[in-house]
Amino acid sequence: MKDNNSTKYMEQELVSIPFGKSKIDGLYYNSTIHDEDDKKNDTVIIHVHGFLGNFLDGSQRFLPPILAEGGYSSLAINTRMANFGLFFGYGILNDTIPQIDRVVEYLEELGYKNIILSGYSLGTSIVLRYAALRKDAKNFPHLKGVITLAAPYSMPDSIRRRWNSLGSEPSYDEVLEEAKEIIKPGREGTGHDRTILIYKARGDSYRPEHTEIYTYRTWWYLAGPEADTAMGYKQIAEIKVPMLLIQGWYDQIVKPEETHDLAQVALDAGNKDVSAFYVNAGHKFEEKEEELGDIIVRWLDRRFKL
Amino acid sequence: MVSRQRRLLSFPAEDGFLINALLVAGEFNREEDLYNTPIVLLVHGVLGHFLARGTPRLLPNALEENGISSFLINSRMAFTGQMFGGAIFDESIMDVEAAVEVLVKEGFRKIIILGWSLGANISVYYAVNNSHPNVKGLILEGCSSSLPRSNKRRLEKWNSVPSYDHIYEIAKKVLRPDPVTTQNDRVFIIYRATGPTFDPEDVELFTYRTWWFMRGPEAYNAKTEEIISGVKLPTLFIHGDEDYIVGHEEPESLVEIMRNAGNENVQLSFIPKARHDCMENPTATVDTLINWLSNFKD
Repeated sequence: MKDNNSTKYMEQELVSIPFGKSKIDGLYYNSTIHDEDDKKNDTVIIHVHGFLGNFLDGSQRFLPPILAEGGYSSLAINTRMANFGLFFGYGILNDTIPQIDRVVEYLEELGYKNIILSGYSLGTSIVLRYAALRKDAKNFPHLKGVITLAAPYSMPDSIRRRWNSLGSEPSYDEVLEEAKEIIKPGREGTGHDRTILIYKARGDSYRPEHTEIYTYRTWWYLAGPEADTAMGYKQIAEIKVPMLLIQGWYDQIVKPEETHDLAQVALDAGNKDVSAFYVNAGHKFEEKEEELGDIIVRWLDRRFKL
Repeated sequence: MVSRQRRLLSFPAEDGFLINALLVAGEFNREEDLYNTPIVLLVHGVLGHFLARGTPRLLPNALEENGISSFLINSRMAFTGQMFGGAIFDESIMDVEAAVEVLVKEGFRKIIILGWSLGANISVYYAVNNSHPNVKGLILEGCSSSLPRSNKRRLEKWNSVPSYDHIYEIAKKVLRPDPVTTQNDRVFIIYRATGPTFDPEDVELFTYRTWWFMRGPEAYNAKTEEIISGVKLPTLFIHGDEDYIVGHEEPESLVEIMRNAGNENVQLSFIPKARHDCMENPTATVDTLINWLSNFKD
């Protein structure tokens, strides 16, 4: 049995942050590493999950302990897009923004001064959108950096290209035609929505692992051709805080050049602190977890070490 | 002094599936007291997990206030398991077994398994097959007498698309040659499964294989009424008086089967002002549980 609760580097706590009538669940990893003056680092990383993910899996799970050893605390959260949000109609990207506002506020209340947003895959669309909307340093002074792991250049383009290359059933264009009917102006909030399956969306078989599930509405706002909020390249151009982009060289879901192109857009837009790294891994960074963590800790140390 | 605990644990089932679990325990004067007090092992419902609203979310803290510890697991049936093929009902008892083993190794001597909804059916299947001596009782909340029949009734009630019988016919073809060993599987949607519309909130999602072992006509181990006579543990049924998902007659028939099979330690309590989730009436639910659990204190 592995006790994930604590190590010599951290204490772990399940948190439920009040948010309106609901709560935002998260796992807080409080680094117990202090500097020579016994001072604790006031930098914290918010981790946002990927497609169908949650704070118990993937990089949201394996990165925080590594960062804690480097002296950085983390909060891995479940947004509205976690788990089956995309299947039942409530996983809309823009609706996660107030949730992250609340999480930032919560961390500020805990005393953190430097808040870094880190997203994985779908989560990169969330953090890029958030950082673009909250770019005003006067009003959002504690947002100090963004980390993307396996970021698509544009979620809609990435999904369309993948579906077309795999011969998905239904095709991207067929879903689009149906979605237009569902999303017609005046139909917002009227309950006109359906859950849909896309076979051969993630691989060349009909098996469950190659299937994607959305509602027309969640698809429209994440993968539709007008889903600007999920187009990373449009969001990243607005972001002026330090950025770190990392991707697996053998990523089969997001093409490696997408990270390069995103970094280029950020630099061209005038961001002077943009770094991009590739690791010898696939989309999930399997077997390169420590290496990924080391890159992030070094990047944080250069900017936020006490 | 043993401090209050909120521990997140991870451990593998026999087949390697990684189970996440949450231990919730209050303060105890001595370690011995912690291990001698009953601990409730909580198994979630459909699409559930240990933070799901209702019983998983609310009950552990309420029990802790009354000196009872809890251990909540995310089994392979949690989250999206039934939609992507991992949630095979028959295999889920490995998750309960692993959780019991963890508790036994920790030193807990009085383990009470509480299954909510789907979790109740899993708990019965576990208790029939492989109950560790340290498992002293079962609490079954909102327990259906048969998951396949419950699904068939519901799909017929809402005139689902596809129908139950049609799903069965397709499943037989997709899962050739044998549902146990086949490598073939597919995700499918049932529209109008839980209500009268085609809206997302009224759909159910399965793979043919997860449906086959949980909801299909040949899902023998999910037909709780056919196996529950093998449960010899003290058992408490709690059931929302206003439950419209599982009718009163279902736990009543299960109680009768158990008593007819010689189990005299079976109790059924209806919780007033509660539907499928008994914690809609926390006071009545917790009072009922604490009263019953007092039987296991020294």
